[in-house]
Amino acid sequence: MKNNLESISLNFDSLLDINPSLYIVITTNLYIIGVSEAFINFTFTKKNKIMGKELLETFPFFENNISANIENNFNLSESIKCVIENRKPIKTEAQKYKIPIPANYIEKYLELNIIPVLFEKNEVLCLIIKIEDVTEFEKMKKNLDEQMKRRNELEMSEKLHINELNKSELRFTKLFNLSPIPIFLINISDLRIVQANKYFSNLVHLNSNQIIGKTGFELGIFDMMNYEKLTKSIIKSGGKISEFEINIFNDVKEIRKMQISSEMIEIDNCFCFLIAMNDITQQKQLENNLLEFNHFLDTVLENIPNSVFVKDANTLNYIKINKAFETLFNSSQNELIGKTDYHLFSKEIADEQQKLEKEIIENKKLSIVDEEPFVSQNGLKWIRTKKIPVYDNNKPLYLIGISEDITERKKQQDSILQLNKELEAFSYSVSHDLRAPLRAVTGYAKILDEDYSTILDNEGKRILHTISENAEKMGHLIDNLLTFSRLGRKEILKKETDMNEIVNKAISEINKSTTHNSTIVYNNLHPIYADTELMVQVMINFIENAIKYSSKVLEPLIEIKSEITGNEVIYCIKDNGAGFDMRYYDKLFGVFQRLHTMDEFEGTGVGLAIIQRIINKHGGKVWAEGKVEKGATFYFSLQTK
Amino acid sequence: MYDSDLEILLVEDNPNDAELTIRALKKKNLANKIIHLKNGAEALDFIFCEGNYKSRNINNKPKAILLDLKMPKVNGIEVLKKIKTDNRTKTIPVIILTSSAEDPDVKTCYELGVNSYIVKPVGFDNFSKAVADLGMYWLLLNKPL
Repeated sequence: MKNNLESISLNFDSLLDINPSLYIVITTNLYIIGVSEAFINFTFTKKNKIMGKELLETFPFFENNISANIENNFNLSESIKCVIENRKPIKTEAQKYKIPIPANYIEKYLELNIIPVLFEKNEVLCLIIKIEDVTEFEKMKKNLDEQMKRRNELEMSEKLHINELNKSELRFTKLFNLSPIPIFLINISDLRIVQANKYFSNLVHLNSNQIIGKTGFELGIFDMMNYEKLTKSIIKSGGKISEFEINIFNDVKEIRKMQISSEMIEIDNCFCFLIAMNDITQQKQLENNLLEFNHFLDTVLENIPNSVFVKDANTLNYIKINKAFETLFNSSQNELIGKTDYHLFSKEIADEQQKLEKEIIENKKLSIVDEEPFVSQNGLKWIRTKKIPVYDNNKPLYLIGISEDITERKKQQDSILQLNKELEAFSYSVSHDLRAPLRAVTGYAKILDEDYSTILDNEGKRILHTISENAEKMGHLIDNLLTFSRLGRKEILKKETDMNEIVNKAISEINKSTTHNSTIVYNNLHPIYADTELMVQVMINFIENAIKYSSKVLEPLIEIKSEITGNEVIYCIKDNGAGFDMRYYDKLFGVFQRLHTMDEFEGTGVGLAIIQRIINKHGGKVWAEGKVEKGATFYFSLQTK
Repeated sequence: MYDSDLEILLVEDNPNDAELTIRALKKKNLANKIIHLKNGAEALDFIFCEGNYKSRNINNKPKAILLDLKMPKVNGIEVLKKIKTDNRTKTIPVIILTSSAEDPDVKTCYELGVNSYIVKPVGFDNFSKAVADLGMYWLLLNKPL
């Protein structure tokens, strides 16, 4: 065995000596049997001093490594035992060793590679320890670490700044991509598109591959002339333009009107124009519509016969007047705009006017003003003006005035008033002057009858009687006619009216002058909002009629009922009398129109005409149904309120 | 005659109406002390003892005045106004004679303090009855103060 080892050792010697690496060859019991020349030099020893010696006794530093990491602490003898047991090499990590040199020691980082040399039967013959001096490498590594650390620190300190930069760039990108308006960037030098956001893509129906690198011309989406104008004005303005309008056509020939604004920016050391677009198609359309509508309004305003003005609500200066206003006041737009009423009217009138208009603006209420009559170039004029205050969020803006020339109406009204007066005088004179001779006729006929009846024969008496009768009839006619004409002029005073009471009153009024045997049935009549006095008149006439026309039947019955339909009350007065022929319905309500002769039923033909006049004045309706000898039913309807 | 006891003063311009009125009053025996004046001016002269009636004693007041409204020169309203605004005469009962109850003057008369009114109806019977009744009423039941 020893021989064998020696022979191997010799062979090792020659092998190890030429190897520039550090080697030690040991037996399994740690005796050095070989060492490389390089190791001898490295440890400042002599080969003969160490050969055959125990390894750890000879080089105790192997056991005293000063690894920084305790857990990695490495024990050579233990490791060797492991290698022998497992017959597998072990490589240690770099450890720091204090290696003695003459009068000193050096620190080295060493990696140990323990390799078993296997013999027959898998027996470990010896072990080779290859030592690698990794000091330089470790130093470099340490250096690098430090540098890295310093750099990290540096970076940390600079990080804030860098972050800011990153953030703003990030922000830009985000904004660029997310902004809901189409944006693209063109290179300042060749005007080619560098970037375009997805809204731009969507707008022009092109993907980014079709866009990037192209010029605006090449995209075929712009009107060439306009795009050239756009780029020129961008360049001319140093990149900053706004409110430039351009049309964009996409592949479906849809035209969108865009408003362009641009800025020059620097991205990745490259100067670009950022071109942002605002789709104003709809806005333009609205503007156009508004313009058209305004034009329409202007046309209407200019051509309507009413004169119209618009005043500033604060200064009461005229802002706009129309043609009719110009004509009426013999003034012109140019002359009046910016001026007040003091330019048109006398101080007193203008004072009054402004006071009133200020009130209207303050009260926020439309009001209709009958202006004082004034002298125009066409004579005296009466004007009625609707004054409308206009606000924006409670802030008074304008006062609009729409005037109506009511001169004609006024004249007509005056003439109607005049006519009414004349009619009244006429009625008065009819009532007085027409009656006086009638009174004389009846009066003297009576004297004749009273004082001279002994001289008159029967025929004479009959003639005298006819004279008085006719004179009295004429008196009734005059009375009825007067009532009828009086109703035309009478003002209606509506109030809550109990119709049961009205009917009651009417019946007792009738009973004063007439005797009859009619049964009149009524109860729970709906109340109505009407002129009480006139309603009594209506009921008197209806009931009188019913009594009269049912006077010839055996058991005259008059029924009065009411019902509500919607917002109306319908009253009906039904009798079982003579009725009437519906063929002559048209004549039923006419003045002095009668469907019966005097011999059949007396009457003047004014009763129903009076009823119709009263009900019509109340805004209601009158109608009737009848059948000859089967009675008649009269209806009238009135609004509940 | 003017100084004797005066019963009724009738102021009426229409001679027919006057005759019929007087006849109606006569029938009730109320016409023995009646004076008929034909217009408002004459009535005022008589009541206030002026003009032709200067010598009349103003204290000899009629017990009632029947006054037609519609008369030439001075109408009934003016006469009524003078009577009712003068302390010496305002207590005399005045009855207005009118052709129509519709007459707006009736309202004015009441405002001026008229005591009653009679509508002169076309029918003579009614008229004489009304005149007579009212005459009786004012003369007999409503003695002047």
